[in-house]
Amino acid sequence: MELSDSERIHNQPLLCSSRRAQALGPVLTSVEKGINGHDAVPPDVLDEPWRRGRALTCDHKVTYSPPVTDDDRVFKALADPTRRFLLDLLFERDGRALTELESELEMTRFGVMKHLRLLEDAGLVVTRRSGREKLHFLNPVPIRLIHDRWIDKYRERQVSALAELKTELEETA
Amino acid sequence: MTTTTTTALATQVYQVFIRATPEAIWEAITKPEFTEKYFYGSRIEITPAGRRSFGPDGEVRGDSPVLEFDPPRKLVHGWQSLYDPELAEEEPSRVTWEIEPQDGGFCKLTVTHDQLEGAPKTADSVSGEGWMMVISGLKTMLETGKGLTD
Repeated sequence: MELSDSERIHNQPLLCSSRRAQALGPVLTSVEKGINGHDAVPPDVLDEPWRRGRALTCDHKVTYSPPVTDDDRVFKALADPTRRFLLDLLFERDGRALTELESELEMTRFGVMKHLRLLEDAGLVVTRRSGREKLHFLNPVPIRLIHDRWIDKYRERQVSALAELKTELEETA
Repeated sequence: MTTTTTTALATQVYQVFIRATPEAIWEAITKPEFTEKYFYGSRIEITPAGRRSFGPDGEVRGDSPVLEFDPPRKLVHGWQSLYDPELAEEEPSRVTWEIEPQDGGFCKLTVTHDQLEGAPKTADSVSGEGWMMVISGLKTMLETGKGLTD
């Protein structure tokens, strides 16, 4: 989405400071959010030019600066059984051509291509040319990052809740 | 062994987007003071002359030729897992690092570990968790500044 300078300035007041961190949400890691889960964003992080630009244009829902850092794309890509099946196929045996993947599905070539493109956009599949063929490789990194960001975060809370319970019980005993 | 299974074991691709400059990523890959923070504690030094990796006690973990040294875009080096006697016996493979700047202060980093045909055990040991820990650790280090500012 391209905005003229006057539009940029015009849009600026729409984003009040309390929503600023929220607007940056998808790109903030749990580390940046602080230990207690508050939006304790260090000022230097917000001062990065690209973040500032994004906050000013309010286009965080339209333009994805970094495709993979936005969990939305990964979750969306994973929300479809055909795409999960394609990932499983690549997990079983990596580096496959379209023709081979297509033969495992009751679907048109075009349909499979569409699903693969979505997986590629989410960074879950990376393609490499090998001679005349385009091979598809499973890229497990985005799933790992989601694991680190979401699963680990909640596990940590459970652990600290247990630790607090222990302290509480010991204090009252 | 069929051709397709060879392909499966022989090439592994990992890709991540990192909020850092190509130069910072290059430094993080080639300088031991950075690699020890995310590469299983290995102090790795990569120069046009070669790639040498040492463990915390100074033991040699890797000593391979550098095939392409094009800072801050592309790095290709050999790979032999000297940290494990069984893996060290296998044939050398190849690792390619490609850094591509994107819009908005990001870079796309693609790590391809290939030519693993003669090193099935190595392929197994570096797949999944192996490279993933390195790559997500590298991203965390570069983005949170952990280890870079202190």
